[in-house]
Amino acid sequence: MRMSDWLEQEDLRLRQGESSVGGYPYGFMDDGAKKDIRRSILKAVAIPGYQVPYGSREMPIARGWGTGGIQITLSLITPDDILKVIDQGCDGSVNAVNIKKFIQTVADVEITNDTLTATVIQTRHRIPEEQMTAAQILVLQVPYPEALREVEASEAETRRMHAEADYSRMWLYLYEDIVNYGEITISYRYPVTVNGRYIMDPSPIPRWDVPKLHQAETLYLFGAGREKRIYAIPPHTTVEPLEFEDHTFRVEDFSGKSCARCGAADTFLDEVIENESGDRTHYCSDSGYCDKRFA
Amino acid sequence: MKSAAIHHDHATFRVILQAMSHPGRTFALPFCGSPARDHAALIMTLGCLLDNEVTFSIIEDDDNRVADVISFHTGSVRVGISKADFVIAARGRTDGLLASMRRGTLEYPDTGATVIYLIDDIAGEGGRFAMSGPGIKGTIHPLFTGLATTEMNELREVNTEYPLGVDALFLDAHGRIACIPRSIRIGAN
Repeated sequence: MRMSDWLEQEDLRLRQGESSVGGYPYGFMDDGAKKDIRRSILKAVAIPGYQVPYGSREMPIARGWGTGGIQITLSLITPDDILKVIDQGCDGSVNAVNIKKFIQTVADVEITNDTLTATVIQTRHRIPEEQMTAAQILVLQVPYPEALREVEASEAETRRMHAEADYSRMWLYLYEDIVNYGEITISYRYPVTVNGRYIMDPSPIPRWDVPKLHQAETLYLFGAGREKRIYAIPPHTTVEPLEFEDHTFRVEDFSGKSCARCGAADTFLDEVIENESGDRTHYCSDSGYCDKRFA
Repeated sequence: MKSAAIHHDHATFRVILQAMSHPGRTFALPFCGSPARDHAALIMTLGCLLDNEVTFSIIEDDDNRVADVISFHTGSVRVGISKADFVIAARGRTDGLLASMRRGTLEYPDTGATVIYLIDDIAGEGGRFAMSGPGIKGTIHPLFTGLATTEMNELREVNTEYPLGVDALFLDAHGRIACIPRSIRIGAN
């Protein structure tokens, strides 16, 4: 390789008009930050379920508000992408709208509410109802990446436990839950085993969404900005919720209930209680899917 | 309004990420030219991953020319094979050095090295080795022309103690990429 090979290749940028967007470098972050995140993402995909430490950067929103997801999205997005951002299933919530505006400003992407049209979906606490494809990427925002934190406060110790696949205390925790309440009471952040090796926190998605992680078509990337961790589930990976032979995993039961707006009886439902009457109604949590059915 | 901006690093990384999450499958890297310019795939790949935070090493670079160019453009420092984050096998062979590359620790398996093989051709299916694991539906038999015949066996050997291991990228002369991360089981031939 000659020096000129590289220069010619670099020169393409100028000739093809690579430029900043909105006065910021494309994707907001500096090159060093993006390269660090990209290297971490590749290692995360190569070791499914393992939390790769990375140098989480300052974002224009506070840590804990989706900065991990934003950093992943910004490091891989291209102007050809169509972005969807949801917060607890909703395209229109304040946080989702502002994240969309920000990414659109610095990455020059189109925005959609349609799961099937999007190429990159960033989400907080839900996986869309409609099945995603191999061409799409789902980026999940993660508040607490460590599934073992409930049973062990020390990071050094949880790291040792993952290193040795020493998960007995997690199993004991589930067992004690059954002894106390007759079943495993974890409602969201339900721990899973990825590729038969690592116990992983799937982020605060409801149980309803956990089976969607197993042998999926889509790449799932998890970003915890405050805790500075990136992890991943590649497509076609075995993801098993923790369960016992006599206490098997089950999803939320919505039998007999349906969405009061679109009538769907096969989606994850939010319960709304009327203040005066005390009546309970249910609506789809996935607002994009509900809109599509209602239209 | 849509600008005409083209963002090489982003588009290149997306293809690398696709290749890493679909092991053994062939993907075309963008901006490599048609026919691909010399070393275009390597330049594009290193350009979106390497900086002064990581180190690299090269096997088979007699006159140091490639190493100098990479150092100059990325700021990455050349070190010995056993210390490098990225190792470039410039002629599709590691001559037994794969075993001396970093495989990470059980606490930090991500510190294992990434080896980049430069080979003649990634031709899709038809190889001798059955591969399976995360990212692969069933099994796949990728065919890597120009890769030394012993490499796959050695790769299997260094990746037996999962999650410790080395992740492999293959770049061909036509600007194509395929990956074999450490999570992949390489079947006996």
